[in-house]
Amino acid sequence: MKPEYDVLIIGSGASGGMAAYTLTQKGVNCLMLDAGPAVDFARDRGLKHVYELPYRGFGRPGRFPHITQADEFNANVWADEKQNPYTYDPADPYYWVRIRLVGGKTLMWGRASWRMSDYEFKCKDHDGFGDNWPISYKDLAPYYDRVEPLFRVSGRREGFAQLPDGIFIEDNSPDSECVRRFIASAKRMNVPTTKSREATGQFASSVNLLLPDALATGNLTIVPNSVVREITVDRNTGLANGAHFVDRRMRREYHAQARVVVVGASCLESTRILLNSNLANSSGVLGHYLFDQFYVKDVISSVVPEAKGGRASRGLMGGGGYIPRFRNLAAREKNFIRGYAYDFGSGGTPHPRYFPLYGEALQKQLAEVSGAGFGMTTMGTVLPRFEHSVRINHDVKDAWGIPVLHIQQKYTDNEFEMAKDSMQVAEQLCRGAGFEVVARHWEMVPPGESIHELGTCRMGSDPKTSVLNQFNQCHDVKNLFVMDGSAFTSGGPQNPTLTILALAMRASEYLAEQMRTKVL
Amino acid sequence: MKRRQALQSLAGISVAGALPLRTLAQQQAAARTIAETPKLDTAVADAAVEALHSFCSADQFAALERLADVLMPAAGDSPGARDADVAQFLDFLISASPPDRQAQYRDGLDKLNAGARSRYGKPFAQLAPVENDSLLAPLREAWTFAEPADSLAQFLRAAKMDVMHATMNSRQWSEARAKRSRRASGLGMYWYPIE
Repeated sequence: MKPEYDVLIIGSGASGGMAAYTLTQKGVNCLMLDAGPAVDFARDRGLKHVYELPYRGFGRPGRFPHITQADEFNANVWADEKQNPYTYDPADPYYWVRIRLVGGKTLMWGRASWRMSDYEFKCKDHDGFGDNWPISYKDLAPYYDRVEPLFRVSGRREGFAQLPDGIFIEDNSPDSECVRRFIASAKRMNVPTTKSREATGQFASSVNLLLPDALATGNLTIVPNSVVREITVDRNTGLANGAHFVDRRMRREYHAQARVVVVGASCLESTRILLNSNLANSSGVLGHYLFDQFYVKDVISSVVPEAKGGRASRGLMGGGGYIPRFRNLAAREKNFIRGYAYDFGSGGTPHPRYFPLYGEALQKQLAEVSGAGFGMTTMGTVLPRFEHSVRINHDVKDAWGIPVLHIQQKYTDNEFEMAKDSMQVAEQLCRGAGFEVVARHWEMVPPGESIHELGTCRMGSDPKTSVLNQFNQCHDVKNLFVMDGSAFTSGGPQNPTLTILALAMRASEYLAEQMRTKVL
Repeated sequence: MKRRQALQSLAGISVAGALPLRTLAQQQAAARTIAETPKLDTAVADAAVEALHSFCSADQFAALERLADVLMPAAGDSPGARDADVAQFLDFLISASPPDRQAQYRDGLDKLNAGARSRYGKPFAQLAPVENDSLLAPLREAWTFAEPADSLAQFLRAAKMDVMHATMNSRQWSEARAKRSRRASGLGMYWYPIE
């Protein structure tokens, strides 16, 4: 006799991990499926010299045409694109970056941990575009308060309305001289700055911060290598009753049964599972309103003149920070709505491509600016639009015979104008600090490359225009919850992981209470 | 039938195909052997033997070798592209690359040779440094985010970065760095294939 499970959790990253962490501690017996294997960190990783790698660090050519983050050291982490294909219109390429391992993308995330505000949750009230979320900041704030200590988020309290403060490991570290000059330049332009807010510790992942505690309750069973085909439904009740899945390695078929199903397979994989299951789409919006954050990587590359030629005095270089959104807060001030943020950092060396030199002249130039670099990257708000969407492409199947996604997203004038503005402001900020500008540009990376894909299974108050209610619960199937980034109604320039974690904690507590009171 | 054979029969396992059970002492001895077996020092093939060309023609390879030398010459105690066998490595890398990258290298190297013959009457590899420079003028153009329209300029941009990376990721570069600094160069956390 196999055990019976209260909740089936599909996915083990930020949302699946948080669901397991929260539910199991409330006595809920959970089965977790993940499409990939579990990492044995002692066996699966080790130090190597780049010259020992078969391709000198270049990686096997053509292996990852859409994953610019892949290098030869980490190539085995990313989902294989041949086994896991997807399609798009060649005119609008989409870079879908996936990890199929227990822990998901929390194994590799950048740890940036920003709260969203009512500039995002109530965006329509603010500028009239799109839809408000069915929750406000105050609904989620208590959960942010609990997630931040769990992920040991460091930061500095500032009192910004657009970037609410949290429960931080206070970062009062002194800034370097070049950063102080940059901050002074920003102040003169009324541009706010702060320290980065990041999860800290040796490692900050679902596999060390969430799943061990869930397993320790005795209420969690993790089955890796389980590729979910579809969620199954009881024909009599219309409720979800489990999922069909196939073993990744030997293709053996299984069915997992549970009273409730939680999907946290990552934004687009979750929607793919729902679409392949023909579920939760009475509104017709499942798969629609796909967005992300656009990135302009190295929007500006500059150097601090006093640091050139190895002449940097002690304390001149090093460190960085963050500029939260500052456009269109009090009133509409530009030819776009909403806004963007920047990461900035100092102490590196500008990329060799920027110098119109080669040979000895280039080497001398690089030596001259070594350690003198000051760079910025833009992260911009992308507007959710109905026509930006995913659908099932029945003509293409993955290695397990499961139909794949066709993805349609492109940036529009609002994003382009925002990106151009960010380049101009970045240049003014750097020049104002006395830095020499080496290169600037405003061109964004392709949609998807930021790995912050969001939407397609959006929350909302109206079942006619949304898939999920305010607790990530399907309007159509009451015992089906979707807890990852697909639930976002809109977004801002903030990295989304902290919000995904807080939403998953909130939804899981609601679910546990519904189960305790026998509503579910 | 002994108890073990009976259980195997019930489980549908043929006795002939079953693995022999080891005693605890045998298992402990096997584990000891594994623990005590030293990890052998091995060399990468690049360091031990000559690689064969698999992509470039002789003319193309000579141009690539010269181009790599011009783009990344040895400087002080830093090895250059020639020391790091960059042309040999890139010949291999491009041979394993998608068709568009292969075409870019093949056409680019041919254009360098054609330009050299047309302007100086000899292939790129035999030009004097000042003559090489005259054909690399696109690399002295200011950087733009958009790729240049000219295919030779596109190739030279790609080759500039490929040659730099292949040199700086070489064993020779790493060893030279190790001699003048205690900081390891090019050491990274490698993820093995995960079962």
